[in-house]
Amino acid sequence: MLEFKDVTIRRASRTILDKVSLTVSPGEHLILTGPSGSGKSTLLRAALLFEPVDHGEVLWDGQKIFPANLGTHRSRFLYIGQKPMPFDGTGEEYLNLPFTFAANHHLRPDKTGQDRLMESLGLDPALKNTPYMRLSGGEQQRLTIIQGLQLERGFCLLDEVTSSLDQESMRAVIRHFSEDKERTVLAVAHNTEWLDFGFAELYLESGKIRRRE
Amino acid sequence: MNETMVISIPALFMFAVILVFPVLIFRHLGLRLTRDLLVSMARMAVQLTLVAIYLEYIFKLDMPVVNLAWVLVMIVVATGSILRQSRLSWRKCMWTILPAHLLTSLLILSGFLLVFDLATIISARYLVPLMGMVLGNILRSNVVALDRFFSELRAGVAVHIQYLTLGATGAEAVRPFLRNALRAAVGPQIGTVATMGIVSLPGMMTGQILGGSSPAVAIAYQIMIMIAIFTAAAVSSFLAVHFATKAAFDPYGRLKEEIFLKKP
Repeated sequence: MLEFKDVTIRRASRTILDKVSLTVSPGEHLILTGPSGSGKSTLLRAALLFEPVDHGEVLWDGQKIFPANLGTHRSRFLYIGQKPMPFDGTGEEYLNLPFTFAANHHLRPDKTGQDRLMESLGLDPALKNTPYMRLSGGEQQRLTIIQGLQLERGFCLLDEVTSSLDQESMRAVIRHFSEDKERTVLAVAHNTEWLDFGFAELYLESGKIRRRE
Repeated sequence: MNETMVISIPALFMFAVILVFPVLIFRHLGLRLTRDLLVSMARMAVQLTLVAIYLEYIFKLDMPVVNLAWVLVMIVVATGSILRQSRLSWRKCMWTILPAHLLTSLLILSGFLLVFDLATIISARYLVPLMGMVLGNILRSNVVALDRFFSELRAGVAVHIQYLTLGATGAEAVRPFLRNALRAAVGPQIGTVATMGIVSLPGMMTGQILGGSSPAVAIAYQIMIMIAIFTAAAVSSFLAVHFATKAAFDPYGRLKEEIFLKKP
């Protein structure tokens, strides 16, 4: 369970989060909306302790996060941004990248699982053989999502992941996350499509957060 | 061996008159570069004069300890210049990045030992110009590497976070940024090497030929120095970025803003 307790974040004399308290329970599906620059991305990064917090605490199951348990804390999350990184290699090599990290050496990529995920997000599995840089922005973005979904991460932090997708693939991505009841999802979004798929809305404005019904 | 013809000081001043042409072009285009140009040229002349006086002294003295100390000074100045041009804080990064250039210099010096005997390479006449050329030519690639690395890391902070959450260690998470930085730093140099001799007549060779060496001797030196420069550029750029990452992140893996010089 992720908890923000009276979290205040100031940047260059501007208060981005103002004593925000928020609890995200396991299995919740939430979108975070609000005006541009209101601090939505900052809040996601703060959950991973990537943003220094000026006041208050970020807790997991009531525990404070220190550098000593930071690795464990971050390994609970899947974080995906809106713009993927350039990558030399094929789509398949990109999907397999997490398995080259020492921490994941005990895991093996599941090829049929990859193909299934690709199909469910509207991608032809043959794209795996295409050089990653030759894929379109939307294809790269969906491969990035699949790359992360392969790992057992219970909590998804998604930062405008559908911004480079067309209507159809956007709905495929949202549907995928909405049907995944095992995972907790907190997605920064500008579009309200997510609400159609049963996501609840958190609204962030002027440093304050509130749930919208 | 023929003595090189001496250029007299008045002749040098006469020659400087051709600077009128860039100045006229700047005026024609309304570019306000004339002042900068004249200041830079004057600085260059003064610095070279001072170095010449100093080198005369070092060459006369020709003590290995003094020669090596001079190389050490060159290394420190090179590192400082790289930090300034990459807009990194001198105070925060000097001690982390300096070893990159010390190790690179040590490697290149060991390489020179395969060609020269120890007494030759540590004599002022060989050590100072050879190491000077190597260090002078790695500045550009180091600046490009550091600049590219940090600018991409700042722009791609989401990717860095993403990799860390996918289980990457600190080193694994910066690897794509390191790879891009190194490609930008040394990639173009590979192209330069390939056109050497056709497009550009390299400075060292030209100098030696003017100094009276036979072209055959000059070419052997030029090939050696090109190999040394490329190796030094690649090794030092890699090490500089590698060591910089040690200074760049706090225990939470966040980029420390204080290592960057604030823009004026």
